[in-house]
Amino acid sequence: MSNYWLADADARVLGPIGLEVLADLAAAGKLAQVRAVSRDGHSFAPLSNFPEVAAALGPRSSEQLSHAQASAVSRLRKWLEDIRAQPTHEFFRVPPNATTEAYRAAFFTLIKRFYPDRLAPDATMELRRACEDVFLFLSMRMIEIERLHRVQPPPVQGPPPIGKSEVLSLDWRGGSIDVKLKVKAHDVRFFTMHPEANFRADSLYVESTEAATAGTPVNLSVQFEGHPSTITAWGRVIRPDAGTVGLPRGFGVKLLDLGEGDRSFIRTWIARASTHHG
Amino acid sequence: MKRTVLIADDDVLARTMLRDCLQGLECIITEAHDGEQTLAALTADPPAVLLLDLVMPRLSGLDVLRAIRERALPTRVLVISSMDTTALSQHTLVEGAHGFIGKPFHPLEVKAAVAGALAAYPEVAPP
Repeated sequence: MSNYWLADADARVLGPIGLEVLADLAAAGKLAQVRAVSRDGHSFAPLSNFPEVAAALGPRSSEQLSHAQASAVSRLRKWLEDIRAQPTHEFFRVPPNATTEAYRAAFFTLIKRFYPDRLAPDATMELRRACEDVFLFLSMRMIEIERLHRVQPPPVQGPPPIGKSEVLSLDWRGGSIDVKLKVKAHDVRFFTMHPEANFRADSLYVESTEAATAGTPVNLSVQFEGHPSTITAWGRVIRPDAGTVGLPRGFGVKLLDLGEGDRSFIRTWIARASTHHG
Repeated sequence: MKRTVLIADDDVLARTMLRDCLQGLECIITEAHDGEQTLAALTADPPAVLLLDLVMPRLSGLDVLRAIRERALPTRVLVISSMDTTALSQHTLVEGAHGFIGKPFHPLEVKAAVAGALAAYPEVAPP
């Protein structure tokens, strides 16, 4: 029965939901900031007044966790076995003659459930491997579709790239480097241009002629065009490149404290840019 | 006649990105930044499609969803939320949502879902 409303520190409300849904959200790490609870959606009281809600938000026992993860592995393995025998359009749930864009839309919807970084830190190795196997299988099928459909590039939609992302400043401060980047709406070069130091590998590549040795601490500040706030992160130089063939000179930075919210924002920003590049 | 898509999310960045996702679709885009404003917009002029965040100030997305169902509005609702667990997504579908997209979203999946919802919205003859 759905009968609880939850409010966070910013007075944002979720509800009505039942204890089962609530416990499921808590187990997935989605309810970290519950401050108040209501039974009618209007009168809220502190969480401590609702022991049943506090219990549902609490950690599951290791036995419950282990059982839930083992079940998830079984479900994933069975599903993977089933879809291996199916044509791609069936499990992508698109018509057989769907366009590449329709396949891509379905692919992105499906694949994000299996991103490795979506798993809880306490996920077992078996669950991680099962997710990786599904992730790889879906990716391979999408690559195959892209190859089959590669007759002509899809039409570019939206405005063309305006300007180029740039390094606003780069200053040495003691033994560390302060770097300020400005990312243009459709130019995500810092996150994508280097084959190894890219955002998928929790890294980015800073164009610069500055000599930086591996391990040098880097304080990053990244502005995004049209977005008021700035993302800050800390990292270390991992690739003191003098310029890989075809790339401008620069160095790679491994991001070491990027929050999940910022990570999610950058991922979405990159995805948005990719649609403007066809 | 262009149809309206209402984006209901308390995060201005999310609204901006969703607006960007809909580029190229034949629709008029409006916005609401909390549950009460969403409900007021729905009452004044029900949109063809509502992109609905679940966690909002004043009134939650599920409250809005329930109001749409009780008033039998023709609006097709696509929930867009970071609360993307199986149990909650199924719950929203039971409550009347036509789709659930987890955050972070890819622009293509949003555009495809909205295009599908617009296509499924009943044609209304102009007065």
